[in-house]
Amino acid sequence: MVDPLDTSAGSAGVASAGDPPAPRLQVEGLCKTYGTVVANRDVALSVRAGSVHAVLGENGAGKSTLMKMLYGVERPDRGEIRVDGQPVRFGSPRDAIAHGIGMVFQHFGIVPGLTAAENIVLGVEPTHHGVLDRAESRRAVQAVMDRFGLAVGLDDKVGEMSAARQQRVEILKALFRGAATLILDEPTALLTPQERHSLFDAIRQLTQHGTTVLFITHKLAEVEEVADDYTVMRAGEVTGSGSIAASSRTALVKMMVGDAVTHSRRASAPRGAPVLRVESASVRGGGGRVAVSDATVDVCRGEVLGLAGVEGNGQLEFIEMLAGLRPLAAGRATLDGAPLGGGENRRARSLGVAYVPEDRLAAGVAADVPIVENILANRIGSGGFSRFGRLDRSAMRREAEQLVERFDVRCASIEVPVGTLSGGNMQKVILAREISADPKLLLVAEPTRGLDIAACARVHEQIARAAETGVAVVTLSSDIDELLAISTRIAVFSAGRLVRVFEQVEQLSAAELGGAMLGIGGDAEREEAA
Amino acid sequence: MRRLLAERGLTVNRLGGVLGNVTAVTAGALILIFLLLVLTSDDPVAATDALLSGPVSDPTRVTQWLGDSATLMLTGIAVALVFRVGQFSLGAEGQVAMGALASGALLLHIGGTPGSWVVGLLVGALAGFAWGAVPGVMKAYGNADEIVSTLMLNYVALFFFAFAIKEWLQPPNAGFAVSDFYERNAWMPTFGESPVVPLSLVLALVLVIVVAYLLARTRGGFEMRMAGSNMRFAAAVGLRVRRSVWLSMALSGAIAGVAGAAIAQTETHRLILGLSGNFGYDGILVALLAANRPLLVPVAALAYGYLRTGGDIAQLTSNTPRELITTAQGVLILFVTARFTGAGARLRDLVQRLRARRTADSVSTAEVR
Repeated sequence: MVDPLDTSAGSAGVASAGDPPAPRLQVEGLCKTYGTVVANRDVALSVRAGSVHAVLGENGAGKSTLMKMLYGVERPDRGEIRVDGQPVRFGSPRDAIAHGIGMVFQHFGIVPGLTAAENIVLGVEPTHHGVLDRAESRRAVQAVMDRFGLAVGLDDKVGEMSAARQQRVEILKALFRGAATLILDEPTALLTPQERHSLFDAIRQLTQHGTTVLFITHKLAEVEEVADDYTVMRAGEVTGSGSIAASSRTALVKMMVGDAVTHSRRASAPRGAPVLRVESASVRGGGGRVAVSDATVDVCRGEVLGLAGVEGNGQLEFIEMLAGLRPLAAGRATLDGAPLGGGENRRARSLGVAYVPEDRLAAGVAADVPIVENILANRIGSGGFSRFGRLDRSAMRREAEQLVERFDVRCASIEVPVGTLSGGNMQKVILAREISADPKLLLVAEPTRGLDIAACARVHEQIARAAETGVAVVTLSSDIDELLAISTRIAVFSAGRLVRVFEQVEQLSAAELGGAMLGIGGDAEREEAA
Repeated sequence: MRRLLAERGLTVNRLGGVLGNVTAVTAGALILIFLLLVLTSDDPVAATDALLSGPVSDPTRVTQWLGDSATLMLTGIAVALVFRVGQFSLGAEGQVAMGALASGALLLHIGGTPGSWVVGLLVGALAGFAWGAVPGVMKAYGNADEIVSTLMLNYVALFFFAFAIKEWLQPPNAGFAVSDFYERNAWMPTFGESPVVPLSLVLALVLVIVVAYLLARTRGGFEMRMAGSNMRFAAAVGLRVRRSVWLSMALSGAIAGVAGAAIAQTETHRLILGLSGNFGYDGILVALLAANRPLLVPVAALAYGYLRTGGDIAQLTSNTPRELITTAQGVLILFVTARFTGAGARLRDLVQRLRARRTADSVSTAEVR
């Protein structure tokens, strides 16, 4: 559960008793350009030993470039990097590692077929007369795990582990190589909320043992939860830095996005007549197990119903059933009286269902196809823009131009492949496509996964506008704050059952909603938070 | 046409660049081929000459080149169509045989009627359509692996072709598996004397344009392309994915069927064992060379047809072994594909990524201190 007020946890860590002489890591006047693009301009950064330092910024702000220079992957054009006060020059990551800097990339560099222990010692294996010494490997890895209080199953195959476990293997790998400063690149991108919390616990463990942690993110809630200090970047430059305890969320947002609109808006239309009725619905998930059982809910015109639940509790299967991607196993669902839930996606669409899938690249777009065809695909599929099977290209272009304008898609032209767009613009293309089909029911799974603050606000705005024109919206998000910000009602799934519907979202707290998701009574959770 | 080209991202400038690149790559490949021939042939210069200029050395050979290229264009566009829908069909070889057999069986009965050659082509298309629809429907509705099913159906088709000739169509006095000759009215028209330009070449060009139009400008073609680009996406936005799969495979079969009928009606003028002559499989090569772009198929077919004919001539006129000719052809194709096609681009991408990965790995595997 995200509690925005709780920022005390990390900052207590290793308090400096009499200021240390030099920061663990310091950067001054760092510049890096790629061609004509300035990725970093006069960047300064100072990281205290034993602290958790967050580097904040929107996508493309230059955070990753900075980290790559700190890890020797890229070389700065100008500027200086100092480790413990000593100027250093990294020709390759090897040099960075020699100075005690380790990095965990967003996409892990592990060998799936090997065990955790084998991965951790890979390349630096202890040997005995030239032969791998397995016992010694295990002992050495165990020693590192004990020292930092981080555990993984040493003999488990890494390929069979969850993303969170794989990440832990990566962290151990860096620690095993003597990293005293750990750089984590968007470490929470692939994690579920629960896994996120255990990662933060691990980070605190590390700092208690003297490790310095530098992590990149654009999620403020995470920063407030775990970081001591911050440095904010925007468009390649540092726009602010300081201690988290002495800063406000609004100030941080302002530093990150400048004047861009960032607040999310809830739809403000009065709730209309019920459009979607679901009665005692059961849905089977992957492998034939029952994912949803006996769910009953009505959704009305003009409302945004948020589906909350810990991942894997049936909310995704529920929305996929409505989208016509999974059939109903029992019960019934009707849209304006017409039966839904036959598992026929084309039929669902013809009845007025629109669907934004959770995995944008896998199911939301055809990445190598131009924007114009992506943005109109659903309407072409139902017979639009064609006469006797012949496509009207000029009508298509006109409509696509208008949609790109209306939904503020930033692109060079409507003919560029949609895969070349940023995640936020790609999501706008998908929303434009689904909303422009004039649906009665709009299903949005994970509206803003991976998007930065400004892009989130634009996506939320589009969802609110759709609801205000009388569309019934059902959305699902693993981000509780997002659900609280945009839903007008929230339905909670737990173990495949729709356990609770919160009618008054304005008065709902994250703690209360989180408690309901875990099946804990709201009151108990409130006490715990207090 | 120009707009079609432009939409495919091929402006005149870029096309010129591509052609320049082709020259450079071809030159590189030729040097390698010549070295191969020097090592193995008694008279490498004559062998190289036959391989490279054989097809234009006299009008009969030009005729053979144009005829083969027409067939390759047909099978090439047939395969490219299926590939664009993301299916990997190997079935053109069998569809060529079935098209030829169906058209031949009919023409041997009605071949005297004026204009019967048109009917022959249509029946060939129909037979190919049906034969292509079988693995198509199996894939679309039963999710049967189309690589396996199309390959297996080739054997069924080729053996049935042989069986049908021997059992029903072979005249009693024939010493090997052939049918009677078709009557004159069943022959496909040709133009010119030397070289002879077959009507099938024109037909092939027309069908290439039809397929290009289908894919770029029609609703059905749109659905096929989207299914080929991202199947899950196509299904999620409500396109007719199943129909796209089976229909594209059936239409591809129809074009290959026409190719089969056209071979018999233009060149052999009868059914003969081995009539499909590997044209179906070579169509896969042509499609790959053209990167599955319909409008590049004629170029690829003419180029590959030239090489194929040159190889035949080199075998006949020099003592160069067949295996070596095939190797030389392989070298040339490898050079071209590695440089220009999507497969090549992916390969280069992979190499780059591996290189980047190695930097990242040397990182993690580097020893501390």
